[in-house]
Amino acid sequence: MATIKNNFDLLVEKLEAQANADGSAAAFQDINLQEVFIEIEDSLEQYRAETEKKHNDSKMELANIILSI
Amino acid sequence: MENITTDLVSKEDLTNKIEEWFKGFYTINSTSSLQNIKTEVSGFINNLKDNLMFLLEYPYVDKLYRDTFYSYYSSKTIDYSRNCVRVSIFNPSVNDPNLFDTEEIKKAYLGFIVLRPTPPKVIGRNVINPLAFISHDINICSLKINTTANYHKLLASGFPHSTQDGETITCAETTLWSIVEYFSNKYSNYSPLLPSEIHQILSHFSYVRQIPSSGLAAAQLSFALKKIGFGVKIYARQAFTSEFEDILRIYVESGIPVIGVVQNASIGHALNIVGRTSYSKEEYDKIVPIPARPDLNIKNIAKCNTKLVFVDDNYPPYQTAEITSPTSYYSSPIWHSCTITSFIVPLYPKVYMEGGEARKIALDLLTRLNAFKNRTVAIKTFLTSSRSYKDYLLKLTDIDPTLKNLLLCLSMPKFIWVTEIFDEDQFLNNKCEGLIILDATEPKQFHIIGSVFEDNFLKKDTNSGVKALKINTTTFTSYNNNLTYYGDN
Repeated sequence: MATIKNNFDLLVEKLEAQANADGSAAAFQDINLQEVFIEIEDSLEQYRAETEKKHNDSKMELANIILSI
Repeated sequence: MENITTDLVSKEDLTNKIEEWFKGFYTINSTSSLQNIKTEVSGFINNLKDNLMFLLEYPYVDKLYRDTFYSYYSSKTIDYSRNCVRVSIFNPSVNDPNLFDTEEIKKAYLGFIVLRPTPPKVIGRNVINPLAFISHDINICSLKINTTANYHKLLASGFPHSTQDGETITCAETTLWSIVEYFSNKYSNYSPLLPSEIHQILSHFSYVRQIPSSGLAAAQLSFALKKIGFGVKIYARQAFTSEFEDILRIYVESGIPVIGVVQNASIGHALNIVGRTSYSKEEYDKIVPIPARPDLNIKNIAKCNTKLVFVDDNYPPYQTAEITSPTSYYSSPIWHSCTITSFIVPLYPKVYMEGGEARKIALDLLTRLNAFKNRTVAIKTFLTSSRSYKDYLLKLTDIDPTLKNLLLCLSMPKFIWVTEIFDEDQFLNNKCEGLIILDATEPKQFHIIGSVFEDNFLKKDTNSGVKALKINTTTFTSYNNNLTYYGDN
């Protein structure tokens, strides 16, 4: 069965073919994207752990505030 | 059953007419009671434009008052009427001869105020178009609510507001009612909430009687919102310290009304934060750029000190004040030392990524991807629905057509986090040149639905991996559809 290509993939194919024909440089060619993503995910994990604690502290604080005026 | 009485008056004559109607329809004859009602009403309408016209209608069946009437006022010895007076607000073009001209009425309509027979706290449910106010240069979350005036079906635009009656509803209940009224009228996922329903929901979380109301604990507001289907997040200043105000501004920019808790040593008060004033050059220039790399500085728009817009049940809607002195508009000085100590965000339940995370990912990408070398850029982070965002993309005329197609055919969840990247000098012109669109339904990893860094396009997710492409870019008009602007520019 033939693979049905979605609009995004069709557009990407077209852009890549055009870039090859023009001899354009690849995107982010001076960067190791995988390394960047791993660094960001590690830092995000740490941020999420810290934020979770802040949310727990926020919950405790909210329990003691009476809003009446 | 009483038949309908109407009267059209100017602002100058409104309080006297209300006194006359309260005497006539509610048999309130005490001079001090009538004077208190007049003071209450004139304080409320004081900041409305002087040339407006007001149409009074009696009897009016108000859903909010009727709920408190049947659950509380009808059980008291003193007689309270079950009917209200409705005051509709119009531009000065409305007069007695054209009151039946539907087109004229629609054009001139600026909302309504319900007056309850609960003196002196008579200002009930209201939705007023900010354009009715003398000062209206604000950007707010607003809705259009179906209503009528003089038998015409109309739409009132603004944010729902009511003052507290001090017996069945205090600041906590009115704030909760107002925010749920907004969401339930705007989105079909939520149902409206009346005061008796609030007390019913909270009955499992209360150890004392609930009526007459002596207020609610802030945690009860969060509990009630969660119970009716919101994915609630709570932020306390003490816990989030330096991030607290930035995160609050990110949610305001996202067009999500949040409940603010303001406090000082003797006051605990709840209000809704519904928008901000416009970005001015003066405030924008004060943002200190933060070095992200030796060759890149970033101005975070969440640091721009625009005033916030409050819907506060002690004052008419759309009060503006600095984030650091949220109750500066109060006449009593004991309020002036209040600060926002916490805020409660009623998120759509499937928004799993929160504002702070979205901003962090955007900053990390900008720092590590080596784009925008030797530049100072400004970034603005906000949440929006993919439906609204694609509608905006579709209508954009100044974006590169290939980039537009690329972005439009991306698969997006119901909500996305967007960070727009601007050249430092182009932010106030609303022209951005970069984008980071993140998947708001991803709590553990990060999916870049699509991003534009100068002439690079980048997409990353666990299913289809990473896709990086060279593209042509130009600056394009930024997204400003989360908040409705009511100013003159």
